[in-house]
Amino acid sequence: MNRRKLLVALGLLSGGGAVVSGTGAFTSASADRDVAVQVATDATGYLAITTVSGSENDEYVTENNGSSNNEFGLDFTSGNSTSGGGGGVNADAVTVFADLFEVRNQGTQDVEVQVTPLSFIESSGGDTTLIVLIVPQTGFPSVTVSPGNAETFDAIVAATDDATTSTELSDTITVSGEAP
Amino acid sequence: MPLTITDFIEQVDGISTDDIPLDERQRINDALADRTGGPGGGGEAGPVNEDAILVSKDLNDRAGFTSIQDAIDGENPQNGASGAGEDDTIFVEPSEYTESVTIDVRGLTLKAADGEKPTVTQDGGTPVLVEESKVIVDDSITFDSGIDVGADFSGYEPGISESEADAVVTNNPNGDNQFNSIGAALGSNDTTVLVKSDYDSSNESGGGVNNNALIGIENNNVKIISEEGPESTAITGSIERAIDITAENVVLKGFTIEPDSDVQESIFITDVSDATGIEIRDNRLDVSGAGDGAEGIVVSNNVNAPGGDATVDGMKIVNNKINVAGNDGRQSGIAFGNAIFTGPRRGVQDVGDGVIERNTIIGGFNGIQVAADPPSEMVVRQNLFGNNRNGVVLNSDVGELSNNHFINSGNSDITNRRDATYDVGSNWFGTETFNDTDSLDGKLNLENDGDEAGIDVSQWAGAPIDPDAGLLTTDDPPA
Repeated sequence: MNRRKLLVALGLLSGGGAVVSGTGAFTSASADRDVAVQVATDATGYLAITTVSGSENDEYVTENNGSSNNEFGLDFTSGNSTSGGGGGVNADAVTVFADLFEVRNQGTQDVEVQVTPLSFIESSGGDTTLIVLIVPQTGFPSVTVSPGNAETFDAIVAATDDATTSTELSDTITVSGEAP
Repeated sequence: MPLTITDFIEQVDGISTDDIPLDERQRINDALADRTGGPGGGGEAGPVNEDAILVSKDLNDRAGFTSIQDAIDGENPQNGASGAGEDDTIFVEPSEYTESVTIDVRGLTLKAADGEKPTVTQDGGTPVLVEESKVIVDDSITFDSGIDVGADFSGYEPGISESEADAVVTNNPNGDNQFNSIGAALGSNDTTVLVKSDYDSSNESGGGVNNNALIGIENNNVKIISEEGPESTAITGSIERAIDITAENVVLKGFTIEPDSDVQESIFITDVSDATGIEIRDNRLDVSGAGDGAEGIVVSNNVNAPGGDATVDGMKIVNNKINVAGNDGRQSGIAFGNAIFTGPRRGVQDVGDGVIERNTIIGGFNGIQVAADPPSEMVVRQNLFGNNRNGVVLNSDVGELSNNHFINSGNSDITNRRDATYDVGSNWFGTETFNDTDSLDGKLNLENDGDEAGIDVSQWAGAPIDPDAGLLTTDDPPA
């Protein structure tokens, strides 16, 4: 498992990038051969983390986030305003982002894909204000993905009536792939 | 793949569904119903994913088990369920389960699904016996017998994060809201204090009644919580008392309080007219090395300032381990008033409906002593009493005396000096270790005349000690 940082920032103010990357569980080899290793972008790595083809929610997916490797992220803030001018989730509401991103196995063997954590809870003064769930579509909490296939993830964001314009959440998730 | 929010909460340490408002749970579950085919709604909202281990009397085509033991053993799975493995969590839906449960899976957590508490009533023998380490039996399940008893710190969680605290106490303060002593952090009402494990109680400058305590808690609505629990955060010192509480709505959670030879009480609560919000929880109080007459927790009118009243009404004393053994002039583990000085000197104005639950009390003259004239509705349950001279001494009536385990009492397990009678059948007396049912004769003192009212003590022969409840061995000196 290769852990990198993912920032999820949401709310009605500060922006934030989101970065996800990971590796497939690809066995090593030892032989008298030349070895060439290249770091790929998140979209082209053996464990590809990308937007979902045809999804209308690709605007919430960011890339780069300060990285030269096109690292992937999620951003539901005013720092990533949509083409329609929106920037942040509504208070006292549940917002669903269907088909938000996918993790695709571009390697050569089955991998157990897991995103951790799948939930974030923000509190203020003892009151829960913001809840974020990353929802896999076919396997919970992990799923086996065969080469060439992908697991798609939705996001459900609930901001309670205790949330204010200063409510925000910025955190890290890890996408991992290991041989089952 | 139907999901509810409980499936997600299950993945996060230190969070329960109770942290999510019910209406919010319902809205999220409705969204999950749309995306995953989950049941929606905020009511039962138990875990429904296929990997959760569910016990229910009404599975309704869901994967699961109809008994807790089957879920542990993987026996009789319904609808494709799998049994528990290491570090798994079993969710038990509300109902009454008649069975004896033996947990032999390391790291297993047994907890209730949302809704009413499930109740487990033993069908003979041990109601719940833990045979592996790192097992958590959550308070959310009621075991209707006496073996799931006493204090257990293995699942300690502070319940708050550093960012949620108003003040942080650390030996290396760095910032406006950081202090090197609890006393310094308690400058005003409505303060939540998180204490780091590097806390050094020698930084305390004293306080409390007549400035005779190491720490005086005088502000209302304060919570003092250790981040890492009693195994990592200690209050030690040399003064008359360790902690005085003279304020309302005080929570003290997660400390070892181990005073030295000058101390009389670990925690002294007085001058409090409303104890509803006072919680003493998850602490290890060791006065075995303290002064003559040292006690664990004392709630009393203020002997030092006559007129200062005290009440226990609504107070919660939960999951504390109190060791009085080894103290030459040992007194009570928990005392409400003082049997010798009843009335205005060292009585309690109102015992009320406090709760004393899941404490381990070792080696006291009296494990718990209730000395107050008004009858009370106090609940005393699921405590483990070991090697006390008297387990519980009732100079006042209590509302419930159930599911306690009394081991190796020197004089009496229960001394009742009032007129009320109690059904003590749900308590346990004796152990297979001490095999002391013979010596129980004459020690129950359930009536004023000391007669056990014909109770057959042999029914408790062979009761094991709850292994997570505290350290009790035959090496402990008998009271």
